[in-house]
Amino acid sequence: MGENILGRLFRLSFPDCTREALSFLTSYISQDCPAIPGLNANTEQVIVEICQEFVLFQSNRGPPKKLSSVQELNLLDMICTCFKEAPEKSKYRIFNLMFGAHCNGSGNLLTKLVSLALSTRCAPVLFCVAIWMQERDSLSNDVKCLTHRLVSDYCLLYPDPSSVFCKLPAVSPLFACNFITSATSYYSFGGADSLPPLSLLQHVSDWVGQDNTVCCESLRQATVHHAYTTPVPGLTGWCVRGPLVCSQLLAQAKSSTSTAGLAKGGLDMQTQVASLLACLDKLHLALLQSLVFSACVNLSPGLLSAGDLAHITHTLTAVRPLQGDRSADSRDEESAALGVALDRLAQILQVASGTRTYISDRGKIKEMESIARHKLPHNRLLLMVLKQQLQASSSYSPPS
Amino acid sequence: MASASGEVVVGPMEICTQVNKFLKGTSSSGGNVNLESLSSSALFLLRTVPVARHAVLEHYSLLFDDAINSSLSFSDRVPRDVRGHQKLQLSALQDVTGVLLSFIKSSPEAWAPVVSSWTLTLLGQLSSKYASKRGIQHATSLNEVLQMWLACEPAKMLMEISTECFAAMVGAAPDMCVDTLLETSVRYSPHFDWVVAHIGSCFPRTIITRVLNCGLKDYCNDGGPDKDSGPSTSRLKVPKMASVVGILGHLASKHGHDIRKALMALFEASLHSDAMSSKVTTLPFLLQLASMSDMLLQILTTDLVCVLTPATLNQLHRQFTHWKRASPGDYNSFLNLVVHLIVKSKIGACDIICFVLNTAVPTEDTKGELPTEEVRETCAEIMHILMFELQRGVLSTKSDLRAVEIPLLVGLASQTHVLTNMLIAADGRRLSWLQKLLTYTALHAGQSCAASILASIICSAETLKQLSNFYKVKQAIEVGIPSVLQPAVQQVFNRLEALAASPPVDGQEGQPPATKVPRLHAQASPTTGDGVSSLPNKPSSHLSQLVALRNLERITAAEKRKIKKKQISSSRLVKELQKHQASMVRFLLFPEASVQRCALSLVHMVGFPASLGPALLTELAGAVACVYFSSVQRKAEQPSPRPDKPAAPGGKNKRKCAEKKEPERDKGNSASCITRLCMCCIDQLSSLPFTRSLLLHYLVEGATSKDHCHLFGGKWTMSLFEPPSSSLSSAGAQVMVDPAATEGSLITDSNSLLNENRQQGNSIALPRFHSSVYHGGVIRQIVKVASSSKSLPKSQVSANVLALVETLWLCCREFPQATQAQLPQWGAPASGLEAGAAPEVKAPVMDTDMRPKQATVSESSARTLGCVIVDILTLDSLYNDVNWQDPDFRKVTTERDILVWKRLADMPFLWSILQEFSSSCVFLYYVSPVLRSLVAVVMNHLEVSREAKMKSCAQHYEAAVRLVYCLTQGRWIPPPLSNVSELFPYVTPYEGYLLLLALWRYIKDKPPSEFEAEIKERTCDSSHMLIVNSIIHANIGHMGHLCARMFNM
Repeated sequence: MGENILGRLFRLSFPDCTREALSFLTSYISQDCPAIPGLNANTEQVIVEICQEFVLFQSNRGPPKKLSSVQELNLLDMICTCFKEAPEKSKYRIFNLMFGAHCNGSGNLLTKLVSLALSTRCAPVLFCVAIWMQERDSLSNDVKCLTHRLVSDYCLLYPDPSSVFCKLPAVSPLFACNFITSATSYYSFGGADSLPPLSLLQHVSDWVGQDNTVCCESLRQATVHHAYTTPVPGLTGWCVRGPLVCSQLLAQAKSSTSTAGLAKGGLDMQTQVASLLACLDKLHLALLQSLVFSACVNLSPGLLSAGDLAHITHTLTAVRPLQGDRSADSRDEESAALGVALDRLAQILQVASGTRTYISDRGKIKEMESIARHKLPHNRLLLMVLKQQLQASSSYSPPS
Repeated sequence: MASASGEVVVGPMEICTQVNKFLKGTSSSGGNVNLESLSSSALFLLRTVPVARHAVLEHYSLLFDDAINSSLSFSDRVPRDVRGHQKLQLSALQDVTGVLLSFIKSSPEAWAPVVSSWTLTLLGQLSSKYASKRGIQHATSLNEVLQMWLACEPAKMLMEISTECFAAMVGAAPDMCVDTLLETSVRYSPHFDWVVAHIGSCFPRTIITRVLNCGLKDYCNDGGPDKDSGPSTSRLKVPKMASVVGILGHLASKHGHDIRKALMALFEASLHSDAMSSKVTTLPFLLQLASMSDMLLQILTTDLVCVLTPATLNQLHRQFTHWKRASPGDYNSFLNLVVHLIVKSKIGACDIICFVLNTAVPTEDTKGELPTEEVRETCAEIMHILMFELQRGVLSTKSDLRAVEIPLLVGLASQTHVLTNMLIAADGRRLSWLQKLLTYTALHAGQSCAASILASIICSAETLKQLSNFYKVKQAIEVGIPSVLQPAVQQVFNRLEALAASPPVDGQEGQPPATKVPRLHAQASPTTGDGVSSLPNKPSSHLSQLVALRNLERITAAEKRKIKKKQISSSRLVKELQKHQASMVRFLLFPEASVQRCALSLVHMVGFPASLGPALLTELAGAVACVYFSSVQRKAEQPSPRPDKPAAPGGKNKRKCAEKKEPERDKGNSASCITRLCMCCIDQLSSLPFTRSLLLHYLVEGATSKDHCHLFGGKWTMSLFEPPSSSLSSAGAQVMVDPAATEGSLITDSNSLLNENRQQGNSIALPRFHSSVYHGGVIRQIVKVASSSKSLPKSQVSANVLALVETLWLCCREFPQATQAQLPQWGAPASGLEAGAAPEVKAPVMDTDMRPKQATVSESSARTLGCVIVDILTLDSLYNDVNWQDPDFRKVTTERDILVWKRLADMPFLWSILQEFSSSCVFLYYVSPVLRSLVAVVMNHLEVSREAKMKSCAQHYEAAVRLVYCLTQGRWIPPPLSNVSELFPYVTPYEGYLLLLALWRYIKDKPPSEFEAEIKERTCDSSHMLIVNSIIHANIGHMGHLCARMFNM
């Protein structure tokens, strides 16, 4: 039958052959991979070939067929439908068959599929992709690439807030969680070249603010899938570095407007930075709430680690520009921004340690303290929190 | 239409249905969805589903295709339903255009690249697809195509979108968008050109700069001259270059200036850039561009050549040294490319050639940095290759007989004057290059250009070395255009005449000091009358005319020499020049002596074949005579200390003298040279009967004219030669009177005492007292005319007379065998000049034994000369009977006789002429009235003279001796009687009278005859000797020794 189905599919033209192939795959996988009658042991290979030839269109025989854009849309639609209709248990297996093993060629198609799934709120696909992301590690390049495409599709093409993104946590919280993780790593907020788009930041702050569980979704899945990454370190990085980078941007914009007289650009920049800062404020609060929430639901600690915080402290020193050729005005603004950043860091550390949602490490805390003492301006709150952490850890550590 | 933000309310289900609808509508099978709803769902997807944008755009490509198809197909007569469909289509397209435009406006960074690549590709596809459609295929020029497409509504929309995209992208990523444009242009060339042209004209500066940069980058990457560019890479390289060239070509018409600036900026940048690659590749890139488009080539040739100063060249040399060493093959092809470009450049051709030449061989006056040795060598090499190429091109054209245009030569053909000037100034290598270049230009451009080149050389060469270019170029040109000489000569004369006709700069008021231009009598030479007066006075034109004439003279002389050496049988040049004798006449009458001399020499060398026609010959004769007198006059004006050699030592010497004329700037010498050349001409001219008689007229009349008579020792007396009743003879005497002088004489005439007396005599019948008869005039009423203002030293006068007689003899002589082959060898038969001529002049004349002994005076000339003299000397022809009447009849003609006497006294040189030609009986026959009058006057005087000796009346005595000499020469009186002159020193005046009376009676008995044979047979019978005998007898005391001369003993 395997040979038969291949032969039959090859005789069909595009939409039909794919439809046939998809239904065949679904039914086949749903039936727990029965041995196909009349076929030898390598049924697995036939399945893979069908998937390659008629779904991904990466033919091993002859030249690959090039689909037109409309046909591609049709294909994506069919895949979405297929996922919707497939039984729950076999969804991820089908997904894995299509996109699991080989990502390089099908990455493009996957991106489009996710994009369409977002538009049509196709939860099954999003769920599968979320798992895929988690398995791949949300910080890996494939995932970052996907995130970037999605951001450009939904945040850059249309400047207005996308309804798709607004309701994303409701549709697929795990996807939203992993998406945030990879977005925070792709747009690290470490300078003018890695700013997250404003609409993305707005969406993220909305998500985290409206639903405190979003950040915990991947941690929650950690019981199923061993690997996990949480968006909390990245979001902390945004909240802490954000004010400092924004103040720098403002200073640059001011100097450029004062010299070149580009008043319009400068104004645009100012409003953009102001809304960024507002979002960050909101995000910071949401983050703290999420930490508190995660303590309530008794998840194992792991949203944040001392190492993450130490890393953020490091980056803070790197982001901080050299003192010197600055006007007193901008220096004041900057030190204020730095104060805010350090305060936030201290708050997050305090809340995390208070709710015990973070993985403590005395060495890292010590490292942070030395940085805070020597390389950063004095911040009483941070130093106090750090001191307390050190004491706590020393008091805890003998028994442990 | 829902706004972009309207999607918030859209649910996922709606999206799904719309996607399905769209897919259904676009799928090939289910075409049930109507256009409107399909379009609306497509727009919906475009607004809400990002991933569907490609699909939607693809769908709209089909729609655009369809719309363009229908709008191109049914632009005129459209069925109603189709029109409705079309309207629907258009509105859908307009919607999507609006949406896309709004997208581009709201977020340009995200949308512009996507939309731009879509529109460009679509435009490319559509324009190549519909290139052969009705209307477009007939449109030849890009402009028409552009109009055609822009008239098509959907295409216009697409264009609008892509322009908008460009505007959005140009600021941020210009390289990218231009690259896309170029690639599309390459792919869909040439149908895509109109798009590029349109976009380019919207953003000219950016497009030009970017396109150039892209091209350069491409060129560098593909190898440039650095790498070994194989055939495959070069093939790839060409289309991109071609599209660069194409785009620039479209923009050239409106934005040529920008292109120019961009090209130059690129070049400047390459000079100052640090990157090795751009240094080495920019120039080859520019040249490559130029080789692909004439327009760019023109820009480069005009601008680049200006920029390439020696300093720049040296710098370039330094930049290219390494490359040249590394890849000699590329270097060679580079040189060939340069040569190819030079060959192709039409406009500015001359500048380029000048540039290359000046770089290869810098002129002395070059300022600033000189090009280094290597640069010069390179330019020389380029020149060599260029010469080779041109030669091949020109010769192949010749053999194929079809005109292969070589733009460089076409360009040079219009600038030959510059090249010629360079050639004249050139030496060394430049010289040979320029010669070749001019030759090729001439061969290529054809006869008229070749002629003008040759003419220019003739008109501007100043030294012999420069003139040698003429021979070389002419020889080379004649290989291809054998008949070039004729138009060349024609052009030379055209230029000469243009110079002559150009209006004088200093206007009319200032009469130039040297306007002693003799004006010919209107009858004598009708055509020169006006020409002489309109001669220009510009010194510059004099000089250039002189140069041209002198060069012609040199060339002709060389040709003549060749003929003489039997190297060539006949000279084409001489034949050509013969056609232009008429023009040369003008220059004969030029006030400048040097010009006159050259023209004269030319006229002489060219010769006077009878084919010239009587009118021209007449003119020539008149002009030569004019020149003759003016030269004599000029000589007289010289304060020459030694007026030596008035008579030529011989024909050959004379010609030598004419040839080595140039170095000596002595005006007197030049004048005598002119005189001699005139004589040569006269000699040649007198081979024809009618010119001979004309010349005789002109010469004699000229010599006796008011202006010239003083040159020959004569003086002008108004009353003698211009009686109030102006008769024919006086008109003849007036031939060569300056108009101004005539006017002046009239003024004095009105104040003349004679006239006043005449009036007084006519007015009232007063008693005839002395005081009333003769009115003495009012003292100091007018200034007394200085009569003897013009007086010359005697030696010069006699020299002039001698020369005049010699010249007349040239006209009159006749060779029995008529051997004209002997070129001007003439001499004066001056054997009878004892009485008039000064002794020191005589000596050289006597030596002239070289003249052919057999020369005699021709009858016709003798007749003419005689008539002329009679005309001049006598009052009218009333009593001008040849036969001598009774001696007593002289009482009747006393007044006439005295007039002849006086006139002859004023013009003593006429005596010389009389004596000279008296050997001809024909001459004597015709001057018989004059002789008779003279004898009568002498007799009248002697008859009543109270002197003791006849010798004491010196004038009459001398006249008597001369008269007897003349009569003897002409054999009117045979030997014993002819010896009476020997008695004259010893006789009293009355006896002298008697002797003359005896002669008279003899002549009366034996009347004059034209026939020599008849005269020869005459003898003297004793009856006529009676008086002689008696006188001898009466004075036998002191005449005894003469008896043997009178009696047969």
